[in-house]
Amino acid sequence: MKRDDEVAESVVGAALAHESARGHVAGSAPYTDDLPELAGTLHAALGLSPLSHGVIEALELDALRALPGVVAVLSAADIPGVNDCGPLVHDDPILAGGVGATLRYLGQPVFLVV
Amino acid sequence: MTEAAHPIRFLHRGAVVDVAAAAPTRTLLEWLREDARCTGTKEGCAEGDCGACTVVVGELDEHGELALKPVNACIRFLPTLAGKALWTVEDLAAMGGGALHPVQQALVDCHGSQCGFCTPGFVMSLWACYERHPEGAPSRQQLADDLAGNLCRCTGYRPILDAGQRMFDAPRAALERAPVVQALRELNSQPAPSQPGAYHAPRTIAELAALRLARPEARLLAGGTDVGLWVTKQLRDLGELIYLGDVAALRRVDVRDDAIVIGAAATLEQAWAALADEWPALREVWLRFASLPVRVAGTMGGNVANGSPIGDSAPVLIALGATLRLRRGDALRRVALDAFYTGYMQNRLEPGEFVEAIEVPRNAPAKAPPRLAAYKISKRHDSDISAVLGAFAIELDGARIAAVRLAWGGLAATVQRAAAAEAALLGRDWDEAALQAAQQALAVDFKPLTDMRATAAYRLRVARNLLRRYWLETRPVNPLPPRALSVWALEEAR
Repeated sequence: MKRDDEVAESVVGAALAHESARGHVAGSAPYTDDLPELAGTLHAALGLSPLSHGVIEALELDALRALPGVVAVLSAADIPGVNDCGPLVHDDPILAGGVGATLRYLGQPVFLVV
Repeated sequence: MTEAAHPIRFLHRGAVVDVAAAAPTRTLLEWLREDARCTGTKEGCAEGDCGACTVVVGELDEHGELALKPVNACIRFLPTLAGKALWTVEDLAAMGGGALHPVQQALVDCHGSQCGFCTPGFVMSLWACYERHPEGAPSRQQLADDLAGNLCRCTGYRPILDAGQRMFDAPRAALERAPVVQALRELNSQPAPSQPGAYHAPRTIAELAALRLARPEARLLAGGTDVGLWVTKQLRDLGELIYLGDVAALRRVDVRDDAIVIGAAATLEQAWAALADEWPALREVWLRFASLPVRVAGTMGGNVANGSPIGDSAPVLIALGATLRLRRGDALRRVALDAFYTGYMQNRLEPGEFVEAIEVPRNAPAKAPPRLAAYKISKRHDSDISAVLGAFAIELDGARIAAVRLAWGGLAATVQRAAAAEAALLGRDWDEAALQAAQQALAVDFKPLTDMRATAAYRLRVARNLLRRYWLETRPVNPLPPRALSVWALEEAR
């Protein structure tokens, strides 16, 4: 164990300024919404559940894919890895699943149009 | 009437900005972030609550001196900047000689930022405070009052308040005002901004009255602290606008011998300061009315004319027996405020007519003043909308109630007096039996709504309880001191 005077000389207990503090107070810290949009930036919109509770019987997205300007239409099946974004309790699907999956609330994201 | 278009000109970073074509409802924040690419100022709530967008606007007051106001850029329409000066978070370092301004350095030193998103707004509110107090640091409570319009959800207020006190310790870096005053004088000698058919900013009452008659459908815009939300939240098209904020004669509060006369474009801060000077009991309602950035932009005339049932001015003004002075062309008439409202956000203004002033009778020197009280009930102490606001005035003749006004916000579609409760009191002794009769009668006067702020049952219950509190404070026998009735008074006494 270190002696008290050794601890006092270390960074433990010392007040260090936030690494971004100067940027925060000057308004120069860049946030995503502050950055100019790059040419060619794609935009995405979510397709939402129209029901507060239900079961997906069919998910017909081909008509959307055929629309002009649509680059991709993604559903749960397109997510690599686990379809869940719950940080602690893993009960938060990113997109509702495919056919047979339960819709759990009005406005639940089902698919993504890019 | 033929009318020329004139651009919007204002002062920013020592130079005149000239905006020829902007939609009248383009907000100052949109202009800053999208046109000027000054992205230090953030959008949080887009309704003037959170303060992330706080900037400082400078304008010449009635004495020709520079007044600096922290305002919410998110609900401030760009054309109303004409003839004024603008500072944002990016502009302060220049005043500190390129290094951080004392306001900014104190926030760094006191660990006053974490995610940093609210910080630019805090910087600007603190800078306005710094400029308002050349004598040195105000009390911690004054700082807290000044910052009521800036919400922080991660750093915490303690280090920010620490910074607010620390910033006065560094060598002073005051704004050099003379060149700003000179530039604003020059700007204001030029024609007012105008877009025929879309935006007008008259400078005299005569011009305003003529415009109002010629365009009765045009919407009157004052501080925009409610109207701004119609655009940012409801996406409404407001049509043609007539801005009142540049009519110098409407911006005054005159304290005359018999009345306090509040011009329709006088700010809430000016108006409440004058009222609380005369009636100290109003101080708490003043400081809890929205926040400083809303009070230095919004007007009491607008609050009253807009006529929201949860506007906090009207109950107090009705309890004080205020009258509105209305103008249509050259014709003036007066309407008692308690007879002005006809329904939800409806009033007795006729086409082409407008509120010119609020006249509040002062206490007669020879008479004992009425016992005045105003109580605000809201979920949050600062910067919140009332669930219920009661404002009461009783004149006693000995123990007998000689006159009574009980005005309420939040209990009906309009702000209104409690006729049955007043009738239950008038002529009786101000004792507990009279109180109980008035409490019962409130159920005859009001059938309140249940909404997000309170249930109907809560509103009626709290209204009755407020009457009891008022009685405890004002009863002829053994009245209780404020510290026995208010947790905030206790807090201040500590």
